Amino acid sequence: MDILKINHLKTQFHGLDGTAHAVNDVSLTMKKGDILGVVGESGSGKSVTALSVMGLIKPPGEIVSGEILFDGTDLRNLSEKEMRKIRGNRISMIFQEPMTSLNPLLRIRDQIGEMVMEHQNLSKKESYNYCVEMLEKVQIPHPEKRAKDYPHQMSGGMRQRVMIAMALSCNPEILIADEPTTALDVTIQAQVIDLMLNLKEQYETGILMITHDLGVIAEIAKQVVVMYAGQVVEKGDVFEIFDNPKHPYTSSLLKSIPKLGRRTQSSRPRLEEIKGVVPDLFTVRKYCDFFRRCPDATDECSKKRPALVNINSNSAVRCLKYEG
Amino acid sequence: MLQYVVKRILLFIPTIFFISLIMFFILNVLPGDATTMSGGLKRQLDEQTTANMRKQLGLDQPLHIRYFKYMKGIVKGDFGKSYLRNESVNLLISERIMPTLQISLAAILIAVGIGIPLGFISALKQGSWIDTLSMVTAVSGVSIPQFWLGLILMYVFSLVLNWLPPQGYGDGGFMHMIMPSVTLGVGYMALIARTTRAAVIEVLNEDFVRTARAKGISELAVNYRHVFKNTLILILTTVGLQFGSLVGQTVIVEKLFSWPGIGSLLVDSIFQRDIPVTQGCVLVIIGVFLIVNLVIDLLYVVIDPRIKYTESNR
Ligand SMILES: Nc1ncnc2c1ncn2[C@@H]1O[C@H](COP(=O)(O)OP(=O)(O)OP(=O)(O)O)[C@@H](O)[C@H]1O
Ligand SMILES: [Mg+2]
Repeated sequence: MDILKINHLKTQFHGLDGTAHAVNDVSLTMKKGDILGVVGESGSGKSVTALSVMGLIKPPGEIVSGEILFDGTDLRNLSEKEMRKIRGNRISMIFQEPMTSLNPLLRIRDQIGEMVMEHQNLSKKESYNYCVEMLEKVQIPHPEKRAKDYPHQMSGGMRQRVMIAMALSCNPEILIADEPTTALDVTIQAQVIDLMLNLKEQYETGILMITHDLGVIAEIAKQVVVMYAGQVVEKGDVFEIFDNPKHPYTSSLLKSIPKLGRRTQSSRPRLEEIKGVVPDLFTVRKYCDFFRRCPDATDECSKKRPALVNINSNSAVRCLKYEG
Repeated sequence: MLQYVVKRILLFIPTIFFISLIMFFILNVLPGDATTMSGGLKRQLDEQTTANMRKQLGLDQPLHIRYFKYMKGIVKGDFGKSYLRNESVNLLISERIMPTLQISLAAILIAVGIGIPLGFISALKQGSWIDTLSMVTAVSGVSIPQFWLGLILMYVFSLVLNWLPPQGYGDGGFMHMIMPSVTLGVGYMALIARTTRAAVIEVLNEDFVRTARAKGISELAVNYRHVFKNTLILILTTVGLQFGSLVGQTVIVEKLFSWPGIGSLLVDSIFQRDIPVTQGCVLVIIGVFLIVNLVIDLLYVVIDPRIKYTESNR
């Protein structure tokens, strides 16, 4: 069953220098309880997609068109009040920046507490106990004591655990994790990912994992969506994408990550960076957005915009090579 | 914490000592003294009378001895005796302090009570007509000179409409207080409105506000618990900094409305070279200023858990 299905979502930001097409016709599907990975360079529209699902796009941003079907209902048709019942309760989100995502003036137990009080009708006292329980689940030592702490008394990894505890506290059907580990150091990253996986098993929560770390995707995701300049350029099964990437952008991404064991080879290949810069989002081009950076570009690529072509039931690619 | 408070209060002593020292010498070195002024503008007292008066007031003694005597009094809490009125400075000040506190507090209430909500609404409805209107009001509020505003109010509400008494303290009642308090409070209010608006706009862009929204709690809870609380520090700082100029402004407003407060007492005493009174007024004003600043610094601790006054981080 599809718990989340986004169809042709377009989200734009209107500014002084024009309209940024931050998310430009994105469609993706997430099955109940699955982990769906979303990868892409900085600025490719991953966070904007996530915020669109949460209904947290504020002016000057605007969802222009598309459907966001959650459990069959289009979230875009819900009133703000109905949306509030879903936010935090059935869909919750962990943000990119653990250091600034918690309110510096409130104790942890109040920040988790206000959420469970809202959605689960707990009293203040019960919410405090529940908070301690949740902190214990995310393996924070001395949870009773820590619940009374303020965010500045905690490290980045600890704060991200608090965010995870908060996000899972209402037992959501979908957890959107927007680069939950980017700001953390490597050892903590692994711990946080493990923790999320354990909790996923326990709660049967589906995770929309946004990251630009392909290593993380390879480790945990089942399906992958690759985004580039506000569009989906490739999607499919994680093994298929890693073993047999179809879009030149996906192959370039894969070549840009280090592989364990390569160092031992005598002729170790250099890591390849993707040359060129991300195209600006203000203009709608008549040609492929990846054309200027693409190693496989042909003449045709400069004349036509590729469409997303289905390869089979759950994989698709946006490249002229696969059209026609 | 307690240690910090005690330390701060002990620091008042050298501050006040230093200020009194400078003030004493400047005031006494300036040409003219109470004896030349007491005869009024047109008349000159004869030599013999002035000499007698000088002797009586102790003005014939050298400066450092006079200062020493003065400080001896201050340590005992005695600000001396007015040169021209047959009253102690302590009594004069104690009579005048209440009226000043009355209009100052009323002005702060107006400023905070109207300024904060106005700034908050403006920020939430950025770009709407409410925002434009209140910010135009705020800018005019900051730029209008007080004596002009006071005169306009007097003209409209006393002369034309005859709703409010134009001047004076009356029985200290509410009606007499309105115009001086408003005149004093408007600029302050405008400033607080602007600061609040800027602070709220800044906080609205913080990540934790987005987190709060993502929790699905009501907009009211987001605005109060997350936005408002985080703007308080900035607002409080403005309130504190502006308090100093409020004190200066009471002088103008009290003179304008013949309000019998410390401000008008201070101005009169300066013109009359009634040095003990001038000194007393200034010291009391500085004392209030120091205390208000201390209170605000302590309020920071109540609001923001990250601020602590301990030995380790000072
Ligand atoms: N609040 C905003 N105002 C204006 N433009 C915005 C805003 N938020 C996002 N955008 C635009 O949307 C584009 C995509 O941003 P988004 O945050 O989704 O990227 P991302 O894929 O999450 O990148 P990163 O990996 O750096 O987080 C940005 O390049 C920017 O132009
Ligand atoms: Mg992002």
